[in-house]
Amino acid sequence: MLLNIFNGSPRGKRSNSAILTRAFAKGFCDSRTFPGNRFEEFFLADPEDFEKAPEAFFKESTALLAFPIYVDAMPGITKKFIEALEPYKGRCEFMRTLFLVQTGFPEETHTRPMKNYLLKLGRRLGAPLPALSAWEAVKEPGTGGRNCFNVTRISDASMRKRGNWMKRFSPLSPGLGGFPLYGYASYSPWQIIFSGIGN
Amino acid sequence: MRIFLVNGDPREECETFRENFEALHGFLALRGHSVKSLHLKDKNIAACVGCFSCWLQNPGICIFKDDHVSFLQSLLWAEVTIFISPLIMGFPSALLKNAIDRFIPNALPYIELDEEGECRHPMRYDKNPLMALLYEPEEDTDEEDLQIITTAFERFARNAHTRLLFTLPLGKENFEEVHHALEHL
Repeated sequence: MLLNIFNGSPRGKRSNSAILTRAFAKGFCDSRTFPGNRFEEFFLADPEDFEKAPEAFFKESTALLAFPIYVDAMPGITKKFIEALEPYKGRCEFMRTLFLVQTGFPEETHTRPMKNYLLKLGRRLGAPLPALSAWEAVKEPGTGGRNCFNVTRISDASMRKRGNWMKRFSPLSPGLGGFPLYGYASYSPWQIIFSGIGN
Repeated sequence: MRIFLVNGDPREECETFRENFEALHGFLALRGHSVKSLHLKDKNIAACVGCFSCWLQNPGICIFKDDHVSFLQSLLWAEVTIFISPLIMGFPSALLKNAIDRFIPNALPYIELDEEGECRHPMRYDKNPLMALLYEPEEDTDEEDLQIITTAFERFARNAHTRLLFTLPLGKENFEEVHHALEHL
């Protein structure tokens, strides 16, 4: 299965989002259990990648859009990408969308408005999911506080774990319905939001 | 009252939006307010690259020397700033978001706890304007979308140590309501 990563950070390859998604991809593409899994990465801050990205998004895959919070929402470049997905509105029923949102703040409250936006975006794109899809808040301090400018190793290990865990579900797997929904943790600087068929 | 209107419409040709925007400017000026407008589409504003120079190298000054300076200065001049944008994929435009992303020179890099014990940045200057949002809905805009954008802009206002006055559709039928909100702060 293809993991399509769309990095919406203005810092592109040097972003904290890239550190997190690479660890996630490593887990997702662990060849021991699922040799067929692979990933592709698009850095939206790179004009060439940006141009290719909307078309690349629209294919059978797990698409992961990752971005940092800029002034309480997605960065302008990420929003521009979402606007470029408008032609695919309601037509993405064959794919699964994941979102990764992170901030330098230690609390999850800063990412919560985006969580609601992204769940709605998943539905807008045509991923049939119920009011609440499985959503996981990882309860460990990572990018926040004193480590404001560096994602810690703890995050790296836990991202890999998440990727490893996610890969068990194909885009059309009905298994996603069983995920637990965690409450709002007081410490969760980043979160992954799942949407797609089977939720 | 000093009012700053920000036009976040990226479309080349949308007469209705521009007309409504100009009409609001005229309406507020006629009511005795001092009004400034900024049409983002006509300006040269680079996207934030997340370099933090405005925090760590030249405090308060962005590395990009472009038209965005007038946006930051107008925020400091205004008592109320109204962001005006069409909704695209359920959120105000990327054009507007780009301008808002570059708000951070007006904030400080430090993190403090607000009155409710939540982290936020202190501001560089004494005061930010009250904020409001006028939107042009999409065909499929629903209550949930409005709730989402209102919450996002409330968060922005709160983290800028100010508050969001209202979220309303852009249209002449709402001008009186806008005026009323400004008169009853």
